[in-house]
Amino acid sequence: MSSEKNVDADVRNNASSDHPVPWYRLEDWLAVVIGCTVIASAFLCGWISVDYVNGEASMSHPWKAWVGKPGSWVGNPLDSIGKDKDWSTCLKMLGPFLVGLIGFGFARRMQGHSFLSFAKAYTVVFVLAGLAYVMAAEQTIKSFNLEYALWALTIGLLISNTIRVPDWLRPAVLTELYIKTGLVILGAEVLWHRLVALGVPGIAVAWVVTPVVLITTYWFGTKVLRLPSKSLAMVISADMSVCGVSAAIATAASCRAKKEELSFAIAISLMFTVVMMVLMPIAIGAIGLDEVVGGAWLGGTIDSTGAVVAAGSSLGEVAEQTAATVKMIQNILIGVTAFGVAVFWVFYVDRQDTQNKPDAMEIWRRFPKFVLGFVFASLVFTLLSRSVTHGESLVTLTVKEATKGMRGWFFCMAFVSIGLDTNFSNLKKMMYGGKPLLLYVCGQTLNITLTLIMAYYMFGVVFADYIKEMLAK
Amino acid sequence: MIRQSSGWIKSIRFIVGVMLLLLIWLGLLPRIGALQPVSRMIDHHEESGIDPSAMFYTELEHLEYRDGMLRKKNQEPFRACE
Repeated sequence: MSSEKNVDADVRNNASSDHPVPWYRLEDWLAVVIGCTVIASAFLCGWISVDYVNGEASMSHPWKAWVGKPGSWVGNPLDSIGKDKDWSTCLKMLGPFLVGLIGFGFARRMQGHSFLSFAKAYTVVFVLAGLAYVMAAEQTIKSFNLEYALWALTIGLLISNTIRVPDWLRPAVLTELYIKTGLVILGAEVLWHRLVALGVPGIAVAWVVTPVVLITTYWFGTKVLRLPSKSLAMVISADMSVCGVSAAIATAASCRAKKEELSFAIAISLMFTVVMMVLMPIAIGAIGLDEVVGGAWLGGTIDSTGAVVAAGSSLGEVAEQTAATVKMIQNILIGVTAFGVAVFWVFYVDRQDTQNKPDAMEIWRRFPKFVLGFVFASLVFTLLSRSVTHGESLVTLTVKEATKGMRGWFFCMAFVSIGLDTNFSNLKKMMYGGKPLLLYVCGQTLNITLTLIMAYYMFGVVFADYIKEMLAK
Repeated sequence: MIRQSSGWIKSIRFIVGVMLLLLIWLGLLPRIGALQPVSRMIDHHEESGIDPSAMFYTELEHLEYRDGMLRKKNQEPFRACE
């Protein structure tokens, strides 16, 4: 993502000058180093702590007590961090705080900035991220899938558009570093073998419809609607066709979209998610669709993972699990999407925007290196889950009890930073006469139609017996 | 003098924003949550252990990957499908 105040952009500019900046000072590589260190340490700690009792593996990750987020609450926000005077949640926030302080502090030092000024600002940004988590954990908000990203943005926007961001806070407003590090850590959750979950019908709904909708929506946005920003068209297309906020984050970083474009795409997506998670189960009931077909339809169309499961559960357990599995495949497609978009941007979009044909070195220089870290983490964790003894359980344990909490905090701080760096007037510019909204509506209509046809044909007709057998396992 | 007053305006805007958020979170949202259809939905999510705010499938605590699908933990096979 580009920004005038972006340290990485400065570093990139320097890199193209006569005095290239060494790789270890570049933000992308620093994100890869921090992210890989976090997931490697988490995996090793989990591996070492496996206990074997009577030949059975007993697992509990040592980081479990140190990584977490505020819990849900009603009426009293303090319940979120200390319900019934149990303050263990506060301890769980200490882990991500310290890891971020050391990791990002190290990155800032490598880039030649003061650690102390970073530490002071980082503490405040972390507290603001915690506040966003508390806001998102309010039970009504949580039930409507209004994720922390929205509230982190709100908090940042409120500060930057009223009292302004003080200069001493700037050293920790590091949107890109937080996002890229979070994405490398997310790589550990992208397990490639799960792409073939549900077999051929899953492949048909998630592998065929998703890319078709993504490419068609992007083409429609840039060629028919003539949206001035190609990166905005790409972020909206990926957000809508793949899996909401997480896909938007990965794609925006891959195509270097503006911060405001990411915020805007996420706001549109969350708005429609709330509507779709309420209306689609009603529509499925009214049409009289089979639970399996309905679940596959929900999983392939509703953007957000949590909302998919909530909508599916209102139809029944079969629908819930089918919907969740289809969405899981789409979640994993983030890896392919992020890599594909990065390659497409460097080889095609950037080439169109510049007069001279870039050589191989220039293409390599422009390529977002953190995507390589993301794909590398994902391949290594897939291999570990398939080859190590109890690998699948060990990877699941590492992710669920250690790394997912870390990347959640890093993403949350990224959204606080976006808010702190955004002016309302810049957000207004993203409206482009309502074209982004129109693009989302048109793309989602195509998505709903194609997914319904494919889900009905694959889950209800051709592979109906196969799916029934699978559910009966 | 002008700077001082604009500083005041900014602070007032900030305070109004914070008050608005507090009003929504501590006043409006609990009321919406108490409405019957909404509270039914919340109760259903709580009972089933569903986190509707999950961003990625690994955040679905009540589901686990088993036999090529995300399934509920310790769930019996679906009899109706046999």
